[in-house]
Amino acid sequence: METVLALQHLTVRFDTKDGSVAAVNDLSLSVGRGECIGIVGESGSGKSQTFLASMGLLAGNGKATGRALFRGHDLLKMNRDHLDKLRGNRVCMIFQDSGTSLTPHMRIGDQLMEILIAHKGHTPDVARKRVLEVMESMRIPDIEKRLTQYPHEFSGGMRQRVMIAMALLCEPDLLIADEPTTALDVTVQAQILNLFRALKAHTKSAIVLITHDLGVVAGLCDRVVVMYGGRMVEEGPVADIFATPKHPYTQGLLRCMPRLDQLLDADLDAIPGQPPNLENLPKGCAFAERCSQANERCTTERPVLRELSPTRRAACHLLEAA
Amino acid sequence: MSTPVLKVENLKVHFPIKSGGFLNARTLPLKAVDGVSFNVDAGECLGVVGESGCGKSTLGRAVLQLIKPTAGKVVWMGENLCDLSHETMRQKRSDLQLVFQDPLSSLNPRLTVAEIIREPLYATDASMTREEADTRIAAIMTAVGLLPEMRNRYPHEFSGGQCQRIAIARAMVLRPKLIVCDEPVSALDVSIQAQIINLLRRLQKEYGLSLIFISHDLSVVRHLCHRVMVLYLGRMMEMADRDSLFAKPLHPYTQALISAVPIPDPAKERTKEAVILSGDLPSPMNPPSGCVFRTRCPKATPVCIKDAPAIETLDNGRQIACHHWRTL
Repeated sequence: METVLALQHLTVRFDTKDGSVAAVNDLSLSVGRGECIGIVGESGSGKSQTFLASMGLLAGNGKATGRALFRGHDLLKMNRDHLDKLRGNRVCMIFQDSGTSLTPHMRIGDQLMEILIAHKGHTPDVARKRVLEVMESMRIPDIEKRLTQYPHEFSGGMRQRVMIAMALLCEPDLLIADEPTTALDVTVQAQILNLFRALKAHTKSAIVLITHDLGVVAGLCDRVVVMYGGRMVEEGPVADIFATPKHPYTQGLLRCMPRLDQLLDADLDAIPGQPPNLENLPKGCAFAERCSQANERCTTERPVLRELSPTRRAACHLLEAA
Repeated sequence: MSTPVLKVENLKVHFPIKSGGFLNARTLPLKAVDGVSFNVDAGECLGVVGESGCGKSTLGRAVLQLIKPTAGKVVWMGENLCDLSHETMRQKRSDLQLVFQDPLSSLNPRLTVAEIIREPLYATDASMTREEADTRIAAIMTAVGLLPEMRNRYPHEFSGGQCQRIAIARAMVLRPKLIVCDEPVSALDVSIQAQIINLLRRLQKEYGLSLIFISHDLSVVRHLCHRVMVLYLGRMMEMADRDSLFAKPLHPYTQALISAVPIPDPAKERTKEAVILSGDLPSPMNPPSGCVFRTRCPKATPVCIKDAPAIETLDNGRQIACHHWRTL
């Protein structure tokens, strides 16, 4: 499989008044053509910052080191002009909050056509035809009228469809979706997930889906990366991760969720404690203080990511002993 | 679990909305809650589910008289709360409490934890001594899983999950009989959600609390609630005990809602037959004629456009509002 995006030892640090804080630490992963990879983690795990850094969208006090190779070219070293030619064209990003991602004073049609005119040099007429075509595939009713409206006239689900349409106009090689359905109601979420499914079946784009919802990952992704405290703790094919999670954090996550398909007449198996403070990460494993199986070594020595099988990796001392 | 402590009858909350221009200015009612009736038994947890804009939060607040209902009755222990004066209602509030979704913004940032929890104590009993209040504060902090040593800290020093524990302690300190929880775990991370759900479940059992648990997350509702009410555009679609509702949802909306929840199991999630609804929730300013759900209902027929379905009550107490549920 051709690699579209390869992150190598990516580290993201932010300068704060309390010193430098690492949001992402030494992360390496790759996404192949036609593949959908799920990035799972809680708030503060570094899942969003990883990809904002790759896209050159970090806040002013943030700095990324390492490499983010998009088809062999390092996005972190690219100059602004070159990056602008790729973003919105070959690499697209969909955000959680579609309300603030669209320009409020521009008609939806104009916003969509602008992309094709800027990146592809299409004439307005050609651009319009392509916009209609993509909007139709998004199952947006009454398209002609919709194109003359402004973002505030759209519902949340409709705006998210426009965002996806926008990302697909140029048939990108890489699509990054950051919590694309989190702000939506379940019935609308189901519609949007269906669109993603169709998208996966019909294009060869690599898709990165950043989410906290393991249900969404189960339905859509081929591979899963679990992050905790700014590091990858486990990676593997989706079926394996759900069937036989290896890292205690992944196991805990899967166990602590109430499930619609299983009735439990007892307390949930909650993970005790709080997610770690990135400003003050422990010396050993970041998960050690919440881990029921932690031993002395876990608190003193940080586990490294090790290969468990050709397709699976995890960072845990306990797996070494076994 | 037999005598209802709370009886809500035909509750309506309509908000006046100004519309039109200068010449044709008029006020239209936005029917946020439109004729909802239900009971809550002592020690029961009633789940209220629905999508955003279905009126579930408004319903919770109207029950507590934080929003004055337009019509209908809220009967608490035999007394209609809608008729009470402001002062009498204030006294009643020690029985009826509320926990909000956003834990940080519902706590006063300039008060310490102890002060936050003390406020309701002094508000209902001004004669309470400092020592007595302190003992109660320490006891309730322990009960919700906070260390009493943290009493002098401010909300910003706590994480979201801990703030939600403070909010629960504030609601619990008056030993209420009913708590309305409005999306209490939606803003929390998955691993913290489980802790708060366990806490609510334990408190509910230990203190024999009645809960009205408002949520959009059906998995959480299934885990926590005894009975579930499904709302759509301010009206009740279906209400049943937890097991019958999830085993065999009868209303097309309930069916769609349940089937839309992603299951964290790749094999099941990829093979399940989902009912995908088309379109979005209609504007509550201009609800569809007849059955409010008919514009998105896969089973709608002409009769649904003409007449709003009456609520039918089945033998086991299950209620449903649909013309066609028998034939689905």
